[in-house]
Amino acid sequence: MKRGTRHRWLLLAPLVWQAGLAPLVNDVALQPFGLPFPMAWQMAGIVLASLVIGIVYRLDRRRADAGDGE
Amino acid sequence: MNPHLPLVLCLAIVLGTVAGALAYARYGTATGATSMEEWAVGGRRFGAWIFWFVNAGEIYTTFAVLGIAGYAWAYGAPAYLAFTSVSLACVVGYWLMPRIWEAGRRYGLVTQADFFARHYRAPWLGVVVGLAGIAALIVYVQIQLTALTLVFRLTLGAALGPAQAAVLAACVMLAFVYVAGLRSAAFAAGVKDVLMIGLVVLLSLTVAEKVGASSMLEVFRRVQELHPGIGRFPGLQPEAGLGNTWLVTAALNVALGTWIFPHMFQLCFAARDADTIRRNAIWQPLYSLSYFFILLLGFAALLAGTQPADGNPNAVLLEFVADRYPPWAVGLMAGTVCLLALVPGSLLLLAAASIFGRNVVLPLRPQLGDAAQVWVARGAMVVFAAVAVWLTLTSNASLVAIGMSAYAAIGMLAPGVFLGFLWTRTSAAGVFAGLVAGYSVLLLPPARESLAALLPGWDAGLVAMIVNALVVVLVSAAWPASQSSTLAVTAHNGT
Repeated sequence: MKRGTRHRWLLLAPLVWQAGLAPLVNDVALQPFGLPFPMAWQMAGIVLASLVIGIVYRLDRRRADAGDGE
Repeated sequence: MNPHLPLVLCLAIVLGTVAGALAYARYGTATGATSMEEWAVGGRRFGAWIFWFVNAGEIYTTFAVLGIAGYAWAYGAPAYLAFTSVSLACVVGYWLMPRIWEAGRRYGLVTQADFFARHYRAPWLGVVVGLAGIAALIVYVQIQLTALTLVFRLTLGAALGPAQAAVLAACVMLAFVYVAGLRSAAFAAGVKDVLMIGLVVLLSLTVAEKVGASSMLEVFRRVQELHPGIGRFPGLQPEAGLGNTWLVTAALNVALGTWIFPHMFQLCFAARDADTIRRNAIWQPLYSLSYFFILLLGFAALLAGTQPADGNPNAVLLEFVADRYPPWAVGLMAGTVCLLALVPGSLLLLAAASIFGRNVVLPLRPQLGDAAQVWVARGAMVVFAAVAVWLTLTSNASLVAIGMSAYAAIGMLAPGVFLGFLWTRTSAAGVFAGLVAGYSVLLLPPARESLAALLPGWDAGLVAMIVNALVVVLVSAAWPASQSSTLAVTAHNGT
C-alpha cells in the first residue's frame, strides 16, 4: 500500500469485531443491561465502526491538507 | 371510533408524501426530467442531506423493519444480522464508493453496466452485467411488493385477494416512480425516515406495558427466560442452519454486496463529491443502532403470543400492532410501511429501467435519442414490476431469506468491481467466466449441494462469490495482458 494510506487498514477492525469475533462471544453468559451478550456485542460493533470510519476520515483529511498524495 | 381510521391515515400519509415529493421535484428541476442523467442520477448534485436520506432510505427498508422483526420473532439471534449489515457495508463503502464516484464523474457513467462496459472496454460485458443487475433488482422489488401486499391486506381487509393486493401494490409503485425520478424519491425518503423514527419510538415506549413487562429491557430479560437460547446462535430453530458460521458468512456477503446493487452504484454517481460519500459513511452506522427497537418489537410480539395468519413471519410486526395498539397507531404504521416499501421500490425500478434503456437497448439500437431512452426505460418498468408481482405470488419465503437471495444474485458482480479496482490485470473475459461459474454454483443443484456439504452452514451467496472471484483471477491471469484495463491505475491515483 502507498505511503500515507496505511491508516486505512483500521477499517478492518469493525469487520474483525462484528464478523470475526462474533462466534467467540456467542456463549458469554454475561447480560449487559439485560441484553443477550452477542446482541450487545454487535451494537458495540456499530459504535466502533462509526468511530473507526471517523478516525480514518480525519487522518485522510489531514493527509489531504498536507498535500501528501491524493 | 371510525372503523376506517387506519385506512384513512394510511392514504393521507402516502398521498401527502407524494404531493410533497412532486412539489419538491418541480422545485428542483424547472423543466422536469428530460435527460437520462437528470432522471437517473439526479444531475450529480446530491449534497450531504439529500444523500443521507436516500442512503438511509436504502438501509431502512421493509427488509430491515418487517423482515428483521419477523426474524427475531421466528429465530431470535439470527436477526442480529441487521446489526452487521449497515456498519460493515459502510466500512467497505468508505474505501469503495469514492472510487466508483470518481469513475462515474470522469467518464460520465450513469449506470453500473456503464461502469463495466467502460472499465473493461467491453460493451458486450455491459449488456451481460446489465441483465444480471436487473435480475437482482427484480428480486429486491419482490421484497417491497411482499410488504406492500401485507399492508394493503391489513388496511383494506382480507376481502382483497393476495393477487389483487400485489397488482395494486405494483401499480402504486409504478405511479410513484413515473412522475419524477430520483429527486422525488429523495424527498419521500426523508418523510419516511422521520415517520419511521417517530413510529418506532412511539411503539417502543409503550411496548413494555402492552406485553406486561416493566421496561423495554425487561422485555429482553423475559423473552430469554421464556425461550432460553433465543439470544445466541443458533437461535430458536437450530435445524434452520442459522448458526455462527451463517452469521459471519452472511454478514460478509451483505457487506461486500451492498454497494454492488445497481441502484447503490447509481446513488454513488448522484453524490456531489467524494467527501459527501465519506462523511455519510461515518454517521450511517450509528443510525442502524435503531434496529435495537425492531428486535425489541419482534421479541415483544413473541412474548405477546402474536400469531400471524399462516405463521407468516413477515406479518408479525403488523399483526402485533394491529392486535395491541389503537387504530390510529395501526394507520400510522400502515402508511409508514407503505412509504418504506415505495421509496426503495421506486429506486429499484428506476435503476433497473435505466440500465435496460441504456445498456441493453441502446447498444442494439444506437440511433435512439436521450428522450426516447427515457421512454423505453419507463416502458420496461411495467414489465419488471409484472415479473416482481409474479415472484411475489409464487414465493412465501421470509423477507430476510428473499433478501439474502437478492444479495447472492448481486454478489456475482462484486468480484468484477473489487478486482477491477485492485488488480489492473482483471479482464472482461475473466469477469464473464467468473459470472458463469458463480451463477452455476448458485443455480445448479449438484454444484450447490456439493459445496454446501463441503462448507456446512455457509451463506450460499458468499460461497458463490468466492468461486466467482477465484475464476476471475485464474482466467485474467491466463489472459494476454494487453487486454486488461488501464482505468484501475488512474482510479487508484484519483482519490
